[in-house]
Amino acid sequence: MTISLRMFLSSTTFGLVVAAVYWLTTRENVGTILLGLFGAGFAFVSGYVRVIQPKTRLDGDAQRAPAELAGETIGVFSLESPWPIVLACCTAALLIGIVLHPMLAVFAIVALFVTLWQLVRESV
Amino acid sequence: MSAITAPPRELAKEGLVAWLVTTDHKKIGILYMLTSLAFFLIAGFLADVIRLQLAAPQQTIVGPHEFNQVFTLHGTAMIFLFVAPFGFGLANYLIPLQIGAPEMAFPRLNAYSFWLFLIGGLTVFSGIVTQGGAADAGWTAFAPLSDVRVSSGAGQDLWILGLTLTSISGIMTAINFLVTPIVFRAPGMGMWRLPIFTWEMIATALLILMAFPPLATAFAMLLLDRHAGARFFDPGGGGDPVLYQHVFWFFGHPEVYVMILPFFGVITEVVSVFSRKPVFGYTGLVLSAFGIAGLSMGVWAHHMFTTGAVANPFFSALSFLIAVPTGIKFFNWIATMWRGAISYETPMLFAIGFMLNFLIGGITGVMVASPPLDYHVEDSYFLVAHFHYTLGGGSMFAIFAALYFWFPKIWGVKLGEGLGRLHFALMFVGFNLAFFPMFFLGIMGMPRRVYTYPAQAGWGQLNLASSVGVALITIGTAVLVWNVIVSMRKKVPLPDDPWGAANSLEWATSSPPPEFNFRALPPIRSKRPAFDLHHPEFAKDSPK
Repeated sequence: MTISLRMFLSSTTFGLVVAAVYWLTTRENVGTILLGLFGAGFAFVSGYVRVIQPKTRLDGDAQRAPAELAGETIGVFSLESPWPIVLACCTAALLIGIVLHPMLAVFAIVALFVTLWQLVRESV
Repeated sequence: MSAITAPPRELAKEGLVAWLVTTDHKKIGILYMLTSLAFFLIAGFLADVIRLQLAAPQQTIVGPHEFNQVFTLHGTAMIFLFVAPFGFGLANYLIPLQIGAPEMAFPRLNAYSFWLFLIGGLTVFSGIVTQGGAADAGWTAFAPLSDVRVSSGAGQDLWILGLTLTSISGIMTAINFLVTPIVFRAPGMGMWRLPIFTWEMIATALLILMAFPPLATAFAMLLLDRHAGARFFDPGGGGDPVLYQHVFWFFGHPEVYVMILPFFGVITEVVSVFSRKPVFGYTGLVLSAFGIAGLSMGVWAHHMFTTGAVANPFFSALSFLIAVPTGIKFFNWIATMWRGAISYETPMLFAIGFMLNFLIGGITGVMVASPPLDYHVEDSYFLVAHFHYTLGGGSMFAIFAALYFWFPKIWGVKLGEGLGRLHFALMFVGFNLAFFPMFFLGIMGMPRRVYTYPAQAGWGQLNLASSVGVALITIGTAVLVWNVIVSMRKKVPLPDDPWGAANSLEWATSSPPPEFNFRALPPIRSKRPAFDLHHPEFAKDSPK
């Protein structure tokens, strides 16, 4: 078992055990649900890590040397993209619009979808 | 030595556009740090207003409504827009460098996080120009203070919306902080060779992922109460204001550790480099970070002892327990310094200042974890002193240590040592003069968040001392700004490791680092690959 998986599983166990102890000692609902979700969230992450880990390339194996990966392509990194800042503006406009001005929210939803589409297009 | 290469790409544009569209982790890190420092200056100005108002009894520099807005924005900016985001900026800059990676795992998500944070911060402050002014319900926005009957203006809405945006930003950032060191480590960089700063950021990311969603939930409920006729926190409609406190503090206490764990990492790095020794008790430092993170998820209601609606013994016991892993960290820092060739340069001075101040903040934290004592000092200036010692004397001092320590790496310039020492002296004296008297004010019964007090209360002299302290902190901050300006004018080329005994991988590349961070990676055969590279004669003694 890798250290990262052990880390997530320990967090899962901790969350669920504290939730159980909290419920047994206090019988209080809100805290029990919050702590239970804390454990459940890490259970989800643990499962995901278990599935995805064998597919990772740069695993930081302590026995390997950087020379072994010399010249290999390790991924495609974009140095720049105009879409993150646009997406952030759309997100803010959507949230503010929902509360303060519904028409702003409508425009923001349209802009949000266009931006997401551009982001996906840029990524492939 | 061999290179890890990334595919060739189009070169980034220059100028302002390059910064607006960048997805380079180093530039995003710099943007985070500069933005958070700008919010620090604004929050510092607001602190000056607070202390001017309270310097003497019955002052009328600001009225009660304005005072409420000032302390709300001061607390909000310091907590949500300065301390935690500065840690995010530092981590953005350092994590890929420390693990030998060319980038963050999700560069576009990283850029999105930063812009969301900036827009969120501006949204919070935009309330100032609305009718009724900015939010005035304190940084906690407890119901019913934040409900529509008490705070009807758009300022409170903008505050809630702005912080919701910053919390979404925090979650996105945390995903990057967690995924990058797990999947992007260079060959040789096993998990047990990660620098302590990166470990602390992993623990911080776990905390953010668990604690920030409840904050967004609390704010969504608050907005529903304010605008959709929901009654979550209204006892008249079957709701309960204590519910807000539960959900808010389920975020709020872990947030304290989101604001301190990254800086435990900073202090560990600084203490080791300036003691010319490897870190003492590496495993203990890593496990204590996770111990603190785990325990901090179970202590939220120690902020609610006096509601009478929570199980005080449960929360008190867990709160006491946090002192154990924190004590381990202190022990390890002192043991790292023990018999080291300590060099008292500015980063180390700030690190020592951090330890002294945080110790006072920590010990008074243990005091208020005891319900009988907490009942006595709840909502008094004692608490104000306590949390300023942890976050001001703790995190802020560590931020300055980090600034002096990594400035040469980020900008290729060392900040002036003389001005640095003057900055430290003003901050240390000013900070203790500002906040130590508040412990006594609290015990004497001065409540927090009051905009004035009568002369007969006898609080005038201690308040005046406190205000003089804040003035010294302001002068100290001006000295820092001057130091940056002066140092940037005297640019001289620096070596990879200008401190001479640095450990982690960022010191094995140029200052500042090139695009994709490393032209060539050295072999990683111990916990301090940069030290091994620059001092091969001692490499055999480095902890593996």
